Amino acid sequence: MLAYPNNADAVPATVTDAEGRADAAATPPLLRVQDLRVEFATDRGRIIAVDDVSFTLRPAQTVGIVGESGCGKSVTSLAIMGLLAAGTGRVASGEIMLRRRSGAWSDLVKLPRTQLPDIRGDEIAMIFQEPMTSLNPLHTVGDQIAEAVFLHRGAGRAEALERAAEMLARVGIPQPRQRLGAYPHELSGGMRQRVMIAMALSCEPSILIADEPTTALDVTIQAQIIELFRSLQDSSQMATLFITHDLGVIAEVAHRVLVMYAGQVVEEGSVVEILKRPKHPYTRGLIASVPRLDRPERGQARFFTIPGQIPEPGRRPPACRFMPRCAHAEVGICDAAPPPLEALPDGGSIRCVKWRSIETAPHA
Amino acid sequence: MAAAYAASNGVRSKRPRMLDQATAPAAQDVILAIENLRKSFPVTAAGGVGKAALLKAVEDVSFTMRRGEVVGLVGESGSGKSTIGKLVLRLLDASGGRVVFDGVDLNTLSRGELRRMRRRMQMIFQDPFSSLNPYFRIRDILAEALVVHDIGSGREDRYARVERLLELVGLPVSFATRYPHELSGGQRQRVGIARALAVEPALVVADEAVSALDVSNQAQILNVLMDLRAAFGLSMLFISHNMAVVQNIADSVVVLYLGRVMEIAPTEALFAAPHHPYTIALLSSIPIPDPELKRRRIALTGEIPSPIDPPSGCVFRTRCPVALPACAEQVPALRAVGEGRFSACIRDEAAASILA
Repeated sequence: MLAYPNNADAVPATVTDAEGRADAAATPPLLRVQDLRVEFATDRGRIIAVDDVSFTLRPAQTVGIVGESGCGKSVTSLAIMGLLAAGTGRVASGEIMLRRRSGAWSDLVKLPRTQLPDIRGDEIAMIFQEPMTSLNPLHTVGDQIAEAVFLHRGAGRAEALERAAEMLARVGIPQPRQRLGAYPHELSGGMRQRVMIAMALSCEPSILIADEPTTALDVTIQAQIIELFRSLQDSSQMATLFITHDLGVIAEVAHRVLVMYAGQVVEEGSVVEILKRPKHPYTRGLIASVPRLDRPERGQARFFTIPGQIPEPGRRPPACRFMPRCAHAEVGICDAAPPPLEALPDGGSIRCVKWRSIETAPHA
Repeated sequence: MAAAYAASNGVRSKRPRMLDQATAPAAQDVILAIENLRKSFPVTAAGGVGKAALLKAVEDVSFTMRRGEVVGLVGESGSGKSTIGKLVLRLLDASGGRVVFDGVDLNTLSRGELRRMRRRMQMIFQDPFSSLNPYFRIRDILAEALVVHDIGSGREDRYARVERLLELVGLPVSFATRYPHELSGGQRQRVGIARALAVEPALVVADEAVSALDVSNQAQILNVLMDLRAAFGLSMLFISHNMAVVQNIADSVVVLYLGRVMEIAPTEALFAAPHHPYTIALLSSIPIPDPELKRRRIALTGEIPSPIDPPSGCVFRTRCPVALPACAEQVPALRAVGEGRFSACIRDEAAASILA
């Protein structure tokens, strides 16, 4: 185990904003991802799925990762969980520092694979988009939740089932004791996702990774699950990494947001800065492309679009990866060198050498 | 504007005619009339034992679409919106009611007649990958649609038409010789649209046509659809669960819940002031990408009930924040509540003020 030195960790207070959401910028981190690079071996050679990804996750904080297909948001979460397919995917460089329950720091990249199961499901839990594929159809939901408690806590069967019933009640499943004996197919999509959340939270993880947890749900059910996330976070110090393509959901759950494009973080900042005052041309374009209820564009003939397509991992432009689609791109500047992730005075960061000159320009 | 439609021939309509003649569009303006449409599917209990039951996917749905109009058909899982889309094209046979396309009741058509009629009605599917034959080049996928409907003379002419179609949907002509797997999701959906347009249809049913796409592709495809509509006066039944998309593309909206129509309204009126408690709750549940926006959310408790055993009376009453005991007694009639607006609720006047 490595001790992780960081001077910024000295200030312990948690501040809350007007909405009562904790602005945990002042509390010491639980997870620090530094210069993460993930590679996959494919039949077309080695491809870099994610590179140069860095971020910090603090107690009671939700960090959202947004981006479109192939941007690397799910790969990032799988790398943290040590779930990259062995033999094809691997962390090529960088570190994933986790503050353990003991207070010591572990680099999950260097940790022997045999130790990962102690962390997964116990200190870091994960939930996925489609709960049906993550739940075992042959076991009751009670047994599946109890298994996690049994594995990580060494509880007996009766005690583990008791804990399972308690968790089902906590995630808002009516008649939890009766539901222990239900099989996944007997539950609706919303109920299955609640079961997944109950299972994930059963060992009180310090970190929850939620990969598109509401994407497959109807909006009225999504609203219930978002409310559940909020109340669970209010009642614990759990940190959440929330991956979604839905900027509306991000606005409701996240404190800080990472915007990813073509395997890199292109912008990072508070949820208000990212959604209200985006600086990167991609973030600006993405936000402008979303049809939204509060800004109907009826009468306008067209939606705003980002021209072109997301480049495939093997065909990314060598310097700025967004350059071919960017309205502000300048030959000689944007294709000169890969743009660094520049720190901003407000604590955010941006990967664009021209952001100062385009900040005042209208959308995208 | 979609209007709740009481069949002009009162004999067929089970419901009393509750609409003014003035609100019903003139027959020649109507491209599509759905009249008291029903569809149920028999379902058997697990393992084939036990009693068979009926899943009521669509119950007594009526609305009309004018020529050149885009009608948004919205609702959550189990609302029956996709089933209605299939019934409109007669990809499914209705259990009751009628689909009248351009004055012709589709149920009265023979197979041959239906096939000829299909040239005028086309569908765009959600997943453009599973609906494009992976062994065909793009030009042959598109040319096949022309061959099936006997459009064009010979291969040269059809390939020339294919090139024009590709241009129409914003794809480079060089894509003609590619295979579907060489295209991105957005590009494949453009091919799906081109195929639907190949036969110059009068009506397009778009079933979640942009739902599988990333945001930037979604906006591009919506623009293609809007351009085509402007250019050809396409009538479109736009089926979607995404209310924000519907708000931007539809002229009027039909809101469904558990197989029944809850509300019909011109788009702007619906979003400015939803009438039915379900519409109010649905709109308030949609997250908006503005963390500083303060809104009142009407949280719906519970789950969407099973269409095999729907609630008595109003199907929404089990989750409705303003339901009364009376709501369980009879199915509320769809009644006029404003210009071109209809709502199926006995509480909607109270609802608007209570929930506002």
